[in-house]
Amino acid sequence: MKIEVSELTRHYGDFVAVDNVSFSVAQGEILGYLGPNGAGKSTTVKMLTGILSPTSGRILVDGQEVQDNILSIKQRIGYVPESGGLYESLTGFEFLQLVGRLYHLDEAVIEHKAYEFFRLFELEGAMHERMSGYSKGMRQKVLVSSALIHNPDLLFFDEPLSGLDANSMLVFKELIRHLAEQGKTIFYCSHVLDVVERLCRRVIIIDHGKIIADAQVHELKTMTSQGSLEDVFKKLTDDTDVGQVARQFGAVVAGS
Amino acid sequence: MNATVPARPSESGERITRALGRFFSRWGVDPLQYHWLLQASIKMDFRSTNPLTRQSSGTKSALRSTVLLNLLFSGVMSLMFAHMANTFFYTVIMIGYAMAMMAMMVLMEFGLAVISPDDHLVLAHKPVSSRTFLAVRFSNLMFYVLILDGSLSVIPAMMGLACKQTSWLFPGVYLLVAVLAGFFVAGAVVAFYGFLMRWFNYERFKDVLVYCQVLLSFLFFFGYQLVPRLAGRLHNVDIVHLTHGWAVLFPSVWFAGLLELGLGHWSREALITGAGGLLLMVVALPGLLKAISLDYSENIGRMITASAKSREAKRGRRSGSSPGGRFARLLIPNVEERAFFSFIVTMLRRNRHLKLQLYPNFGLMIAMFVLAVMDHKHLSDPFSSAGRPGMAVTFVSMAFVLGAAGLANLLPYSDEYAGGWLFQVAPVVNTAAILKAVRKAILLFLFLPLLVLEGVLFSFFWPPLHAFELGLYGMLIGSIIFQVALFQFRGFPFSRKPEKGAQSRQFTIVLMMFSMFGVLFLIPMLLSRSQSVVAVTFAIMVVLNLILSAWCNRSYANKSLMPE
Repeated sequence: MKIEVSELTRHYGDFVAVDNVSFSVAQGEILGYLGPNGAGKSTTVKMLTGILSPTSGRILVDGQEVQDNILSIKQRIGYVPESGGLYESLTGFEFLQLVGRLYHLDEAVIEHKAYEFFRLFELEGAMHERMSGYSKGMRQKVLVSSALIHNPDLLFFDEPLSGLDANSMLVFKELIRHLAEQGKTIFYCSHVLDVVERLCRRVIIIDHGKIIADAQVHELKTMTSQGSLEDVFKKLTDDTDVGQVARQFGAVVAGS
Repeated sequence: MNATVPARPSESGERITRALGRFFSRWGVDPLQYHWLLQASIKMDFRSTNPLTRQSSGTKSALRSTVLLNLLFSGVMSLMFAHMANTFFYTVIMIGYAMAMMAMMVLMEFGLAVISPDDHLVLAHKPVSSRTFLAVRFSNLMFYVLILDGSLSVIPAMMGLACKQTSWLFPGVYLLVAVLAGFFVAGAVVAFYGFLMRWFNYERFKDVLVYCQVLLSFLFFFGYQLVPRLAGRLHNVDIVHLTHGWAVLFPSVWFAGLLELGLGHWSREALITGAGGLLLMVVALPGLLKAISLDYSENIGRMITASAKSREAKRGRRSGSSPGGRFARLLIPNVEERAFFSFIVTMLRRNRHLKLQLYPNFGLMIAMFVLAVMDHKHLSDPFSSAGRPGMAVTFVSMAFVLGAAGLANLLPYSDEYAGGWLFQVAPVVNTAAILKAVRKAILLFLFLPLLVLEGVLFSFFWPPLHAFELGLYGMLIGSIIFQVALFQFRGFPFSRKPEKGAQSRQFTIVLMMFSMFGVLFLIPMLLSRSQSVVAVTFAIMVVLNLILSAWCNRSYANKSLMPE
């Protein structure tokens, strides 16, 4: 599935959260969508997934306007939100069952996939327990499973590794590559820049609602003469001396 | 963790939700999604909040007690009215009461079930249409409406057999009409929500709801002044009287018209009012709901996100030491107690459930003043030798007692309960500081303003000393009730998730308590003898307060504050 975004803008009263943003993502591509806190990443994702309407601009998914075909596009989207997104008084299995049913999947398919997801994420012992007792990592695994259960063509991940243990992270990163190889388009938002650098060839950096960089990772490194994506990001979004800020924090903590 | 065996919902429940899904599908609702979402939401409502302790769900127990109280209270009311009214007027009163109660309950706590920000987080990116989402939320609400409406209507339906011009059809027709009226109220509230959502962000929306709730509860309390007065004049009230006066504006009159038609009491008035009721149910309500259903999901998303953005924009505006902060440091030198005091005062300003319980009490004082201006003979000075205690004593005591009871009842709960972890990790040395802070907050921000308001308003009628003495009396009574209620409090303030039904239960208990306020007449009657008696009685009440306070602090310090 291809995404084409042109002149996308979203206002909240006087506040401009996303300002005239344009980009496209090809089928099978893993795009890193980066930005400091409050830069407009989540608002962009909400508009792309049809949760919010843009103030102006167009979003085409596979050539179809998102706002005009919202349900059929949502049918093909998987989304792992940054926070929330679970009914904690359901069991993990019941939640996946509910999600599968919302996508009109066959009961046998839902059951099979749910069992397999729990087995692969090593959660089979907890699948019939209420999620209110789950750890953050366990919840994250359920969220990821719920985004994949209907075999979507387009995936949005917002900090998907949050709370996962090291082994699960490795599995997840491989899974993302594998999904891209299957032709799925992946829109990946994260602050963990070394992971983004390893997963994504291309990144978009957004700040104060505007795109400030859109290029291949290696091109950005060359253009800014930086050795890592983290340094590129730092150079483009904030030029303060990190060491000095840390020292000031230390002084405040110590009370001097 | 606690294993839950995957349970299949009951077959009859499944059949009902599937049938409802098919019914709603004619309005663009996805029947399967509707069925599964409604099943899941009811299952979640009735599950225990804490799977580890296997406690019964808060919703279930709150609902059970609300149903019992509804049965009791509607029973008492129908006993009062059935033998002296005809079927039409009896239905106007009883259905009017049920509709007002329903509106209060839906506004107070089931309303947010309709907005349900949690649902939005889970479902907004799923292929669930706005109409399906609204239909599920509305049906979830109707599930509670049916239960509560049933409990408000069963006994009045039976008691209606004692009315004048009744027939054996009355119970059946009454129940049917009562259910329609309950659906109408809930639907109207949802439609009202739908329109509010278009204009306000989530925080402002919740504020507007509080103001509406305050207004409704205020009207409700006034109803208690009107109903006993009406009771004396029921014998001459018939359908012609009511439908030719201002009463025709009340929806309960239209539904009573429907009942008359159902009983076969055909008349021009019954036809007109009944047609009004039918038009509301069949045309107006579906039209309103249809109008809000298209952009329902979008509006929820917009209002929630807009709230977050406006919070971001406001961040960082305040800095430095405020006069309030300096005053708190002077008043409360203990750091722990001051921290809890600031927290509780902030919650008093921002927690909508608390505001709903506390604001109407100021309205009660003003209402009493207005009634007194209108009706002088009911405001005799309880502290004068010729005076006798009357409604003034009841209202003033009520304002303090209701405020205290409301705060004590809501002290454990908040929508922001998730922040409660802070108290569990903080090294709180003196847990009694929590209760001390709560007491100081209620004294400064509820009792003292009430006392001043009452003193100033009632000084227009009595000597100022007597006016303030009555306020002091109310404050001491309220304070004693508060100390007693605090014995039930455990855990940290505002650290538990609000439970559906808990507020309705509280509201109904308060209504039940109204009859007991008569007892509060007695004390001022004794005090009116001399000022020295007043002084001694007040001193005794202060000492009682201090003893209860110390006892309560000790009891609280011995309780485990950690979650079970």
